[in-house]
Amino acid sequence: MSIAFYIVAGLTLASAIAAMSLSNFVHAILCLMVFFAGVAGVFLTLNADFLAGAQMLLYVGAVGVLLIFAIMFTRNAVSELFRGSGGWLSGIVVATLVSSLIIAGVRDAYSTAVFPEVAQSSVKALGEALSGRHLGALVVTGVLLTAAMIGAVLVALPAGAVETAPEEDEA
Amino acid sequence: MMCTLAATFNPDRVLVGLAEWVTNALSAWPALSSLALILMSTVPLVAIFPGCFAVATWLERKGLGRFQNRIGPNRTGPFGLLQPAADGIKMLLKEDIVPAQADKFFHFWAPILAVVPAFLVLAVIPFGRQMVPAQLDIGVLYFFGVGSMSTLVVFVAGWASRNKYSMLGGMRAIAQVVSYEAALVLAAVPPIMAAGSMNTAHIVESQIVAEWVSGGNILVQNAGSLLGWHVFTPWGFCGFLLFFVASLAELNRSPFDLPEADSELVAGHLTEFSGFKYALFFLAEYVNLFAIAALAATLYLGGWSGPNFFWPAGLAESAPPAALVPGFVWLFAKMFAMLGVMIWIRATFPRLRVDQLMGFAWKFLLPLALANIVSAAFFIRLPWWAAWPISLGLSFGAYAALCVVNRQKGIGPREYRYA
Amino acid sequence: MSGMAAPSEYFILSALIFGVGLAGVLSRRNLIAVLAGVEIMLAAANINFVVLWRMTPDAGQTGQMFALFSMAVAAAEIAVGLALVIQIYRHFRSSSIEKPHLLKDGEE
Repeated sequence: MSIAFYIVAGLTLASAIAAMSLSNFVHAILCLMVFFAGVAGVFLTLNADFLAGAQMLLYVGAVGVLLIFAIMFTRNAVSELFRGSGGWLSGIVVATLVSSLIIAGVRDAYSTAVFPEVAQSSVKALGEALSGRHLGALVVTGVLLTAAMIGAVLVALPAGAVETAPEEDEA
Repeated sequence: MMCTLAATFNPDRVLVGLAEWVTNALSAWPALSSLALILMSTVPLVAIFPGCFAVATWLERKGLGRFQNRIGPNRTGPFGLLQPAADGIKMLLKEDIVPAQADKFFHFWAPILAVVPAFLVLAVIPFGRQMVPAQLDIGVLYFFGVGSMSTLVVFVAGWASRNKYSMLGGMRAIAQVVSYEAALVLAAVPPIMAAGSMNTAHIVESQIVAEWVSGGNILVQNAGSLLGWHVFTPWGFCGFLLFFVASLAELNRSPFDLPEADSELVAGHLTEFSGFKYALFFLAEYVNLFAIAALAATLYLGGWSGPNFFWPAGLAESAPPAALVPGFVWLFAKMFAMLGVMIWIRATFPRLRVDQLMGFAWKFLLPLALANIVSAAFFIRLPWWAAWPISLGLSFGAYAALCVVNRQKGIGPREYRYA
Repeated sequence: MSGMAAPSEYFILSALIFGVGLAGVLSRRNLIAVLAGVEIMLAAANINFVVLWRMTPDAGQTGQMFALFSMAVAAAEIAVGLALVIQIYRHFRSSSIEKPHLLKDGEE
């Protein structure tokens, strides 16, 4: 179990770094997909198998495809990888500081914590929580997703198409 | 003599019994026994599905030939049955060409990555009673989660070829698959609701009303394992058709084969692949087809269940009566029946246009799938005399309403809109 | 389960991933890469949610719920974000984050 975690963790971290530092965009996005699959693997080591499945379906299946589309629409737009005028260096320094700060805090606070022995995560319990205690949040999320979908379509339409689009939908 | 043989021999349990015998024989070495169990549930899959692939290519060529008033392949072996073997040898002997500008790494890996998810998703298909390679609580979700990898592989293949036709094919493929995946996943929801579980084995079991009804003739006796299929409910009928149509698009099969439209894009993302790499893509395509047909059978057609024509009662009093037809035979029969319909559709329908394709997914299939979920919810909760009319009204009312809304108002000049 | 990695190792992993994502957001030039960095940071947060869920079995499914809803919100965010990126690209013919600076002082 522990070895599985180290393998998955190493893969996840390496692919995240690659996704953020490769200059070939398609390679970077494919590394991002490996990263998402790796996060699903991390969820699996934690017995959260439903989340792992959702992560695969949502990120590898949908978000990845969206990112690829965006890249294809804006291809060859930027030649340089990082921001100019030294901005990139300060970004990396800030990120290193934040990350090491979190690690320092976590090491002290959770140095002796262990996972309790629990049964496998049951999808049934998750479903009951989703349709019981968290029902309000679920409905709000549904409304949010619908709004986001319509908003994304409207934002991405070409400027002239906004007036003609509703007529076409009715036809 | 015959009676005792009949009482002990149960065709439905041959493979499960074999697995139990091996694990018992190896029970002294737990590691070896679990390894044997893993091998016994994976090796047959890896062996059988390429064989099915060969049969499917033969069926497809022969069937298409008959549909087009030709004979089809008939030179190699009786009825051209050895044609797949000849094709395979030809593929292996062909030169492997990699375009000079191609992304070598992904051009090499794309065919391999295409085959992997196709076989991985087979792990959650219940091939028979107690014959699921992996009993997962998230079975259906696993299927779609792993299956979504194959979308990206198509894009990678198209992009790595560094060929504009390949690229266009890859882009078309991911646009199409991401659109139809929504309808496909939503069409798979009602059986999950009915079974109260995403475990594929439970979904099949929920469709078996009774294994054996005593009395009456053989039809009555076997009706229980047939009438419970979800496809015989209003929402199930609607859902099965939705799932089937969406899976045609998901598999890039005609009439949704725009990514490989040979009149426009040569062969889409397959253009720059030759020899064994091409064969691997083909293998992945057909294994995906069988996997999704098996899932459709599992969700709506009762999976491995079917009229089993049990031995006459009295021969096996103690255990559940032995089935004459093993479960996996039923499942494969259903899969090949669906393949036959797919070939029939391919021979019949012309290819869609891109705007028709997208409109069909978003304006018709998706709303219908949503309405069908509501219909299934009513059907599951209400008593049968209220459930049937309401479910019928909702499913087919939604269908009729969507047909009216989507009706084409005259044929005007074609309008192109670019992103 | 005795061989399972300690929670602190998971926390360190998620902190490192968060750092990688933050570095990408702060230093990449392309808007799409910045959005990808945001997704990486959200995934790191999700790992923490799931680890905390796993550590507190008495708290029900709340941790997993949080991760699930955060995934949904992340999906909405990426859809709208990419639509904006495409619109920005149409306007500036570039998806560099340094192009849209019309609201800045003292330029143009």
